[in-house]
Amino acid sequence: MTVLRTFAELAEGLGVTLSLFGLTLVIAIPLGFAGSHVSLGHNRTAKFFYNIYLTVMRGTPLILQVLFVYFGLNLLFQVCGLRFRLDRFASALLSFALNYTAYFSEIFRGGIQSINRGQYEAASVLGLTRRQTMTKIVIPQVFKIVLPSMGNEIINLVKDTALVSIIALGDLLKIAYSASMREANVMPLVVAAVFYLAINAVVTFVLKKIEARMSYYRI
Amino acid sequence: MDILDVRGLSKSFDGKQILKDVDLTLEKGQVMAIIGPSGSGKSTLLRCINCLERAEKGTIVLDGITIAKEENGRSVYLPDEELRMARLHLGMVFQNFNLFPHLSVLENITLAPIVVDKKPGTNAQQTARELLAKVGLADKADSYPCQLSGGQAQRVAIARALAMDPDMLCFDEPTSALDPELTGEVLHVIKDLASEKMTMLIVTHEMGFAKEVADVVAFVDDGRIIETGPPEKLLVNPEEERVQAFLTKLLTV
Repeated sequence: MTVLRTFAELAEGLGVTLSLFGLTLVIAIPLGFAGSHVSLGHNRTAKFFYNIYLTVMRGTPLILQVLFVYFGLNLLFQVCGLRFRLDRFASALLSFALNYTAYFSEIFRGGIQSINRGQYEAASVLGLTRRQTMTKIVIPQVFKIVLPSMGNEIINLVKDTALVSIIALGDLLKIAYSASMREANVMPLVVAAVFYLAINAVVTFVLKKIEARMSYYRI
Repeated sequence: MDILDVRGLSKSFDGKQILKDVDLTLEKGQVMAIIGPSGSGKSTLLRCINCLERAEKGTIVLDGITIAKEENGRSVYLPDEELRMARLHLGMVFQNFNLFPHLSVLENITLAPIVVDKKPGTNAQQTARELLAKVGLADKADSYPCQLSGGQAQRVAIARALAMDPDMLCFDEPTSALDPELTGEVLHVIKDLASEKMTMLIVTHEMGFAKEVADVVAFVDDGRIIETGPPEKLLVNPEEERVQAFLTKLLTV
C-alpha cells in the first residue's frame, strides 16, 4: 500500500512541477518579448534599468532568487506593515517568471536583431505600418530563428523547477526526496527521474515537430 | 506632366555630404537611367526619393503630392501616416530582392494588397497570378524564395512592386546581385514595362541596357547630377569630361 501512497504523492508533486513549468512559460514568453523591445528601444533610462535587471537575473543563481523572493520579499512586506504574503508557489512562480523573462528577452532581442534591414525596407516601401511589419514579417521569422535556443531554455526550465524544493514547496523532487528518506528506499527518486525524463521527452518531441513544420523555408 | 519633381536635395551621412543640391524631374511614362561611379550617391538619391532615407534639404513632389517641403533651409516631411500613403505611388525593387523568405511567392505578392489596400484575398491572388505570368513565373506561385534563382527572385520582386499598382517604379541596381547569365531575364521584364509606358527610375551599371531602355540618362558623380540627356547623346558623345572619362574607363576594361 505504501507504494500506491507514494505514487499518489509523486503524482501530486508532478502536478506542482508541471504547473510551475507551464505558468512560467505563459508569463515569461510574452514578458520576454515585450522586454526585448525595451533593449532595442530608444528610451535610455528604461534601457539602463532593464540592463541592471538582466544582469542581476542572469548573474545570480536562480535558487538564490527563489530564496530572496520567498523570504526576503515577505520579510519586506512584514517590515512595511503589510499583511500580504506570497505563499510558496507564488514565490516560486514569481522568481521563475522574473528569471526566465530575462533569458527569453535576450533570445528575442538576438532574433529580432538578426532580421535583415532589407526586410523592414521592403515592408516600408509596400506601405506596411510598423505594427503590420512586426506581425507579418518580423515575428514569424524571429519565431523560427529563436526556436532552437528557446528549446534549450524550455528543457532547462523543466529541470530548474526542482530548485523550489529549497523553500519546501511540494514539487516532484521534494516529494520524491521525502518519500525516499521516509521509506529508506531510492525508488521514489528513480521514479522522479523517470518523470523528469518523460516531461523532457514530450517537450523535445513537440519542439522537433514545430521545427519540422518551420523547415519549409530558409532565411 | 511631371510625375516626380525633386529640387535642391541634399543628404549627408556622418558629416560627409553624399548628395549636393540635386534637381531631378521625371515625366509620366519616362524611363530614366541613373549611372555613375560607385559611391557617387546614385543609390542614396533613389533611397531619398522613396523616403528610405530622409533628405536634409530640398523638396520632393511625387504625383502632385508634396512629400517633403523646405522650411528654414531644412526638409520637412509629411506626417508619418500621410507619408505612408503617399509612398504607395512609388514601387521599389532592391538590389538584393528583399523577398519575404517565410512567405510563398504568391503570398509575397498578395501581402501588401491584402494588408495595406484591404483587397479581398481571391482578388489579390488573381492579380498576383496575372503578374507572375507577366514576368514569366506562372509556375512558381507556390514556391518559396529560397527555391528561386536570383533572376527569378528579382522578377518576383518586380511583380510584388507592381501588385500595389504604383505610378512609378524605382530600381536600385536590379541586376548587380545576379550572375551574368541571369541578368537578361530581369532586364527583359524591365524592357517590357518600358514598352507599356511605365514610369521608371533605374540606377544601373548596365550601359547597354541603359542605352536601350532609357529615355533619359543622368550621370551622377560626387553627389551631383553632372549631365542629363538622351542616351544616344550622353552615352556616346557627352559634353562633360567626367562622363567621358567614366565611359572610356568602362570600355577599356
